[in-house]
Amino acid sequence: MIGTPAGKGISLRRIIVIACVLVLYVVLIVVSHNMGKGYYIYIDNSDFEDGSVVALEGVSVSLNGEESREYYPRDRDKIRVLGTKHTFSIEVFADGAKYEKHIDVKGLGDNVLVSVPKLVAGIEPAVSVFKPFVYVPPEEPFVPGTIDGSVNPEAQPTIAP
Amino acid sequence: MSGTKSVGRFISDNAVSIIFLTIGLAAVPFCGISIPGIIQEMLTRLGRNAFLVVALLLPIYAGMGLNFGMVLGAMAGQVGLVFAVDWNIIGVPGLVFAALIGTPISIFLGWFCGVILNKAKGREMVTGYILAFFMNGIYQFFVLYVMGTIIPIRTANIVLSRGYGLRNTLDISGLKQTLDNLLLWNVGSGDWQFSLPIASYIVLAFLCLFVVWFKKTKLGQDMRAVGNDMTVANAAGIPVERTRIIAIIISTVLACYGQIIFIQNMGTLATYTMHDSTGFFAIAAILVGGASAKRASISNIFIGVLLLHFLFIVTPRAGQFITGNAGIGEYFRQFIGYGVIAFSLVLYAWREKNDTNRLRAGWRGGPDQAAANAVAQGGAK
Repeated sequence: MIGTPAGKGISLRRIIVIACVLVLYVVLIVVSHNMGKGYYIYIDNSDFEDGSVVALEGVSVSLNGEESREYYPRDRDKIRVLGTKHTFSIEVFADGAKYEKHIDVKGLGDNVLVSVPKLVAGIEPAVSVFKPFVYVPPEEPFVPGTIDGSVNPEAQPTIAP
Repeated sequence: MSGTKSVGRFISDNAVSIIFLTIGLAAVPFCGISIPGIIQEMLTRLGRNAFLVVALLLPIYAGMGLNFGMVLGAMAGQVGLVFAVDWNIIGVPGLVFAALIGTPISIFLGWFCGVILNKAKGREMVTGYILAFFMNGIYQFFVLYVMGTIIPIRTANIVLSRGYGLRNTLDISGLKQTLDNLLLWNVGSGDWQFSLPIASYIVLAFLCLFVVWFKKTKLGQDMRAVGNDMTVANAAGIPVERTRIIAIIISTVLACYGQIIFIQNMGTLATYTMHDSTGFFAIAAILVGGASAKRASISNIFIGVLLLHFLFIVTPRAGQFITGNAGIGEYFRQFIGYGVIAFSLVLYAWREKNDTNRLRAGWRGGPDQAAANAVAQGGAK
């Protein structure tokens, strides 16, 4: 007869050890979540609707020391970053002025819009929540008798004359 | 005479590897890929696939054959990755997060698989194979319906347009090759420059060390004893069923991690199909390396992965060159993969039968009497 030996009662010490392991496991999940949390930063160089901010004619922006990119009026770029604190190095083409700005995106969600003109002008808030557009195709009416609701003329029942 | 016999024995023991090497070398002139290109591709694939193949070792030690149920672990790894993508956790912490999410799922699935396989002793491979199909249905239900309805999915672009269920292919650009690029060494120069994913190799080396260490532990010795003879192991006081379940759980958890490493290297996650071929290619690799359903070692893994992928790299292109049809080359993969599993299992059965006959002849006083006596003495111990 092949089998496992009869089970024994679990001691208090073992329960504590198991509980500690579970707590440690949850802590590991939380730590890896916080360490690896990514954000999408939308770098935007455009006018504000109320006219309070005007887009810069030409600007070079480098995020966290990465390769810089050029932005002209109405340009917008999406960059994925790790962590909440980031540094922008900005160079305005018109006057050659250089700025270094720090932002913290904590609590603003996964998608954050950073207005470069606001950053340069020192207008707060330069960082705001951004809701990206997601295309959702219109629902097709469900036709009973088809698997996915699509209309298949050949599958329609014919009406007897 | 003895020399001829030993050469014959060597060829018989390594028939699959020899055939693979021969076909691969024959295909090289027709494949149109340079030798450095082939070597680079093999080095990349070694880091990508070897972890999954190592996951097969412990069930073989425990006498449970080739663990086709490792697909369950692959599914758990994919579920972990889906959550990492949904919560936008990127980089190496994203991989760790996916592994941490996948681990309890794979432990549960491994336990479930182990319990089922204990009910089907002697038929573990076919049971595991069918169990993988069964669990695939549950996985499909989970990702096609539960995700987005019962389990909320925050990221709209990974959900189907109807509002629930995941898309066919998920972009894991935040995790893509993060482990490979963590420590990428370029060696050589010119055409012979190779990029080595050292971090993947280090993870693989630690896994191999773990297996070597594990074999020496009490549990590892118990597994070997169970693999040799379950009745004797049970008589010796080893909890046979528990040991077998632990072997399958460890294998499933390793398959979960292996799948995460595999997918991060590929860069995309085919939600509904990626796990299908996991067990199949891993098993083909270990068999090509000279392992059998009862005997395997770490060297079999490395030889197998290199040989199988050598053939996978060169034969589709050679097939395309010879037949003039781009599509036909892809059929080579399936053909070779299934072919090698079938051939290896048939060869293994044939060899087992021959060995048994030889030993029986020895016990009757034939030429292999010494071998038969050795077996008898070993059994008495």
